[in-house]
Amino acid sequence: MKKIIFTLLTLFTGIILFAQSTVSGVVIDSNTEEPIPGVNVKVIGKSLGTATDFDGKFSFKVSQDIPFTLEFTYVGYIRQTIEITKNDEYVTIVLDESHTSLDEVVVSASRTPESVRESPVTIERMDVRGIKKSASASFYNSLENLKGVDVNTNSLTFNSINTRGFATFSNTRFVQLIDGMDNASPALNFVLGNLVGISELDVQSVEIIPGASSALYGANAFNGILFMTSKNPFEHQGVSAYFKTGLTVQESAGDNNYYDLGIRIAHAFGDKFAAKASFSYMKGTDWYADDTSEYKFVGVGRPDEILPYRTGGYDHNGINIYGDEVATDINGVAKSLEALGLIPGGASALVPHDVVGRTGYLEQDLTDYNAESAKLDVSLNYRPFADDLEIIYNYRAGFGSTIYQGTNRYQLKDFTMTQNKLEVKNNNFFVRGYMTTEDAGDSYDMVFTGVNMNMVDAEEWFGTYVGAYLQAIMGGATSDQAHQGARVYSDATITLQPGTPEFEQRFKEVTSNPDLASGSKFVDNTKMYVAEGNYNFASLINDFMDLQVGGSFRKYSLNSDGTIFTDYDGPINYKEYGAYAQASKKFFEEERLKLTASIRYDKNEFFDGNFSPRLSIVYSAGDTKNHNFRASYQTGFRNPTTQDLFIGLNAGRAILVGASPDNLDRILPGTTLTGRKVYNDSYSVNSVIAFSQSGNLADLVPTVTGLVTPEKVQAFDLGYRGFLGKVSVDINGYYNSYDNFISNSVVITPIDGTTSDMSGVMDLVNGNTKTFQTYTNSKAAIASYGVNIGLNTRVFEKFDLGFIYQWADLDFDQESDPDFQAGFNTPKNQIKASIGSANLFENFGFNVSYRWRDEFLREATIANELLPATSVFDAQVNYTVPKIKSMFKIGASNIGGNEYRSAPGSGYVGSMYYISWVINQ
Amino acid sequence: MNIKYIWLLLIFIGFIACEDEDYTIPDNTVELVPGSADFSNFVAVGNSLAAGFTDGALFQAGQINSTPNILAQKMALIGGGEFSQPYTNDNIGGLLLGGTKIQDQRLYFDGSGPAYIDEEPTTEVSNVLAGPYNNMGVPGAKGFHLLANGYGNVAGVAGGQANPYFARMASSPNASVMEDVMAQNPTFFTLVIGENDVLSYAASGGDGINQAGNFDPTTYGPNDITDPNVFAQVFGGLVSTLTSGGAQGVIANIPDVTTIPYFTTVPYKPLDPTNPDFGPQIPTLNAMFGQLNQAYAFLGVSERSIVFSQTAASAVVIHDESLADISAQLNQVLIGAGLDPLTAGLLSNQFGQSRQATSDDLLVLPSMNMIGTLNNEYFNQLVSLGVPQETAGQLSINGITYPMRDKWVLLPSEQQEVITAINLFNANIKMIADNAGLAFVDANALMAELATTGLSRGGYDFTSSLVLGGAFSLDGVHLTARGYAMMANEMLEAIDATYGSNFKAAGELNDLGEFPAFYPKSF
Repeated sequence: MKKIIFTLLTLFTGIILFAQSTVSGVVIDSNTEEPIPGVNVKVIGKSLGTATDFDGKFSFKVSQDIPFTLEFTYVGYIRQTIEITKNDEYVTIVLDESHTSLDEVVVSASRTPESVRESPVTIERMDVRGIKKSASASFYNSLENLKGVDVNTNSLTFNSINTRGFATFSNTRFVQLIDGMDNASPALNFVLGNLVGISELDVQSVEIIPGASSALYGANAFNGILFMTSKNPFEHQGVSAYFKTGLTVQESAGDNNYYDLGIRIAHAFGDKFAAKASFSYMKGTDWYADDTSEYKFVGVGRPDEILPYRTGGYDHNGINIYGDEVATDINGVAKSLEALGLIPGGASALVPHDVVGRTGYLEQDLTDYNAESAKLDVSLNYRPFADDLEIIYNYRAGFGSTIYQGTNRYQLKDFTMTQNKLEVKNNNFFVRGYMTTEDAGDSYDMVFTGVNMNMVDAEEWFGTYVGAYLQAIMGGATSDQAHQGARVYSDATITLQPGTPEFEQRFKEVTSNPDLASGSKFVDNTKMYVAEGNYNFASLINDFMDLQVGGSFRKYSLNSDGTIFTDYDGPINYKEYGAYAQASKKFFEEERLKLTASIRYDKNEFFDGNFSPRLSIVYSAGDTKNHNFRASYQTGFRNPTTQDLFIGLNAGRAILVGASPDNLDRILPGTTLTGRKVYNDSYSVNSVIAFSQSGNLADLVPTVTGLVTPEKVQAFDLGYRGFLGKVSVDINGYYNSYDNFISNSVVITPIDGTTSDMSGVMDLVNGNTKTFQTYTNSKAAIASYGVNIGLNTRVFEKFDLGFIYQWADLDFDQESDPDFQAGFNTPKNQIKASIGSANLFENFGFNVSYRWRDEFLREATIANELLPATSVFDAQVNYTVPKIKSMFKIGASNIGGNEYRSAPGSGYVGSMYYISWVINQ
Repeated sequence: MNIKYIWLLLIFIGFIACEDEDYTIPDNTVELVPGSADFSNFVAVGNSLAAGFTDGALFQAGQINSTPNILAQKMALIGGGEFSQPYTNDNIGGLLLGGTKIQDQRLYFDGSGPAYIDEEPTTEVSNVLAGPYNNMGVPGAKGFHLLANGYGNVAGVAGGQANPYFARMASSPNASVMEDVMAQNPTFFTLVIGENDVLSYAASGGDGINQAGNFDPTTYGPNDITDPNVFAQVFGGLVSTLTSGGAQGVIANIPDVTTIPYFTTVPYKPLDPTNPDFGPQIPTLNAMFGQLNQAYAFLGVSERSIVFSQTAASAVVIHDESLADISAQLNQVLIGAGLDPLTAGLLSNQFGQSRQATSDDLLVLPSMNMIGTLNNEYFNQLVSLGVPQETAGQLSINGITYPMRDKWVLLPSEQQEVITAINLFNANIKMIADNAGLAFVDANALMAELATTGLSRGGYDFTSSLVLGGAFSLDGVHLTARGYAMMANEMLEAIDATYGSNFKAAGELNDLGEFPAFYPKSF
């Protein structure tokens, strides 16, 4: 303990002055003799360092006495060191290309730098090299080419990353951190892809840990976690920029221009202060979603029956048509018209009990499909002692418009999320605090927009419809002919037509009204505050072992003005905290065996504390440690989301009511009831349906719904990483066992009576009830397992070949919870392959990648569909012009336009053709 | 590759070989089966309801939408054969005999009520079609007609001994309907007969004779009620003949015709004081009837008083043959009251057996256009008796000053005769159907539901209203195409129940919306 205090004291108080010298030089490739940009140059034992510029050159000031040793590292090259013995020395370094990826350094698997071979768990990474060779339109999209990684495309500006199955667009089971900051929207509780993210110019590295890792990262590190690290302005200085433009090509949307540009400026003002600013902006036309089919639920775990446009009845509810949900029995309308004397008495006998839905609006009538994303990242970095101690202030903002698909389809319009972070760190510790705030801007629910626009004059429309229907019937029409005529007539006379001022006016009224009973706007100003710290004791205990402890604190401040949450009387605050420790030790000669054990304790204000352990073992075999075997046991948990806890939203068919103990005594919107009543004194919806059919009281089941608690996963992983001849092999298999999946249950609550006596039944009979959706946990027994195989090799000296095979499957006994929809949403078989060369001939490179996925059942509340197998080709060719530090790339994703979609209801992903110019990356 | 890593490949191949789950949606559709029914040769036997008569006429579209033809389309799915019908020339309806119109063209809805289309019939009865036909429905046929030889003789049509609809398709002038039916060796039949055995009486306002007790139908007039024993014997004979070759079939009983719109549409109180042709006349009328009413009171029959309200609708004045004829006494009283003999004679003659209608009286549909109009026949009669034209005109207004004759009104006593007959007929029909093991449709029960609560079928809440009820066509007696389709569905369900077919379970009942409730003026 004394020693720690002493060290801390020196850290904060010791100011030692050193002589300054400037080291400079150039780094070149031993094979091509070309300069290598982006090589990390570092003084060993210090955090001091820089990176080579586009010409492979570097230069920085060192306040260090000679001699000292410089280390040169770059992905794909063998590490080099050189001893500097003279002040202001100029050195030329020749790096040999490495044929092993095992030495690549990753940080996230153990919260400390280690080589990939030592990583205790499966980890995927991508860096600048990967970005350069990617054929995807953006680096974030190209993550799909990594092993075990699935991308769900919500929108042109919103791709959702997932690993290990159970994909949804609102991926609350996956964490994304940028420079340690959690990127999730505080109100939505999931990451909006890279909408609020990082510019590709500023990406230092991307790491993905598939599978559970709550032992280090706490709640929600459940399916996996994505880390993005930006470039430090001390090490990566100068001005860099890119400009991309091209076409998005989709059958529905046609050909549309898009452009994407970015600039990054970083400068170190001496060795103590550095700053950077990075800005990028992308604008295009989103993928249109114009599926007019209705997806009719036929049973849990089965694909919906797909009814093409206006088949099977007059209340067709097209998945991308909104407002057609407004439907009624026209015989009832006829009877009220009779009562009002608007049609002859008795005429309702000519009007069948047909449920007719209003003509809805196509999605494209309710959105401009403007896909826009602006990202700003500013950081001020201060090294008070010009050593590894660094104080960082970071401001990160994302602004954009995109489409998100959950239960409905949502237009996020002028959505803003900002993060402010203050961090102090050195090689042994970090302490940081950050705040995330969001403003939903002019976002709205597109389904409710259509519904509420059509609700305004629903009576007139249906009245006109029935009048026209009757007239046609009395003129000799069949019912079908009369329906068609009535629809045409009432649409022509009542329905507002897109493009007219009346339509625009009503659209504006509805989308600016936050009351879902009549509007569709989202109001959200939710904030999240996080503080966390970590200390690595390794250096204090002479690297006897690696020992880290850390903790985190998180506070949510929900603020939707009563529109989403029950926060009508002011913001709702709640807290979570956690602490963890990890010990890791290497054994045997040449440290071939590494054991790591971690444990984390998390406590949410509303739930019992939760311990998440992790155990792992890595063994390196072979003369050059070329065969590495790993096994791990990990756990993950996911806290119920802010919505699961505090929602109080009248969604029309049901009122959604969150399950937190604090929420239970709040009055729910549009009712006189509280959540406590709903959870404790309701009937299950199935029993009410059974009762209504049988009239038998015994069928009625009073239900007490369990309050939602965290869901949990245990993951077992086995892996091998190494070389078989010249082929690099990475293979892993996993088995995940899930517990307490968070689920919904719909109940019907008597308003005045109670389920404990006949008063509840009387309420049911009199229709004096409300329907609620509650948040609880499923008892379903679920497990998933899979194997990922990755093979990489180089042939003919120049061509890099990659091959990935992913296999995943689900083990779920539906009978353990008949109503629970597992939503594995992952193809059983996937293949990813690539071929490319960074330098096919002088300054010229190319890459082609191919992805194939098997057909699979995509389940979601919006619809369930068996998505067909798809094949996607991406390709790029690039040409480097060293003289102007530029790389030009012509590329295309989904060449051939074999359009596919991630889920029913979302837009088909078409092709993108682009040309880009990147300067000084 | 090193042999010890071969397991990698093995695993790999194993994965690729994994079978995908089968997500095909299970086929929930039930296969249609006939059960024990043999639809190979289906013949429909009966009256206008079998023929597809609608809107007061038989015409092509109506025939296409006849219950038997609708049934035959469904039967064709499981073993049924072609179904032939004696189609008329066009969609005009009506019949010509030797170029002279003997049956009116069809009605259409002109926006306010039924009206004849303005085209003339072209279907010539003497142009005999080469039968026989699967649809042997003969409009106007009573039970015993089906057995009558010569019922299809063109030469007998004009004299009323033969039926024009059968005449145009009979295999020979002397053939009976049943002979032509049985010549086809039906394997399956529908039998809808008996309604005319009472309806013609009712439709004529009880103008005919209740022949109960008269066992010789050859002596019956066209508007008489058939004797129940005669009916039972005829019906039993029809069924035993039809089933003699082992044929299966469906029988429907007879609905209570007094509840059909033909009798329920015209209200007993149709006289509206706001009608400019009637309202202003009320004081004069009441003054005139005031003298009469005093005489009624004097004679102790003040219930026969005639008063027209100036604020509410008033009942029509009807001739009630069931009342005692008090013309003579009335004449004396009126003369005694100081009326001149001519006037007293006229009034007492005119109102000796009359009263205002009550809700128990049923006015027949054709009276709709007659009430409040000048009765020319009576007017001419009065004028020929020397009554001044003006007085004659005042005393000849149908339903107001001229009591409506028996044929316009079905009196409660007549209704009772009709209902009694129907109940006796139906008891026999049910017994005969059950004994023969045939499928049975209780049309009477359906009619009762239709006339009271309304009948919910196929998404429609049918009522027994004319025009708007959906079930009855504009003639107030026959069904609409939609009504016939509903009847076909009832029969399909009855066939399911009796023969083990599954039209309903297989979703093969007819979509009633596909069948129009109206035929346009021209098409």
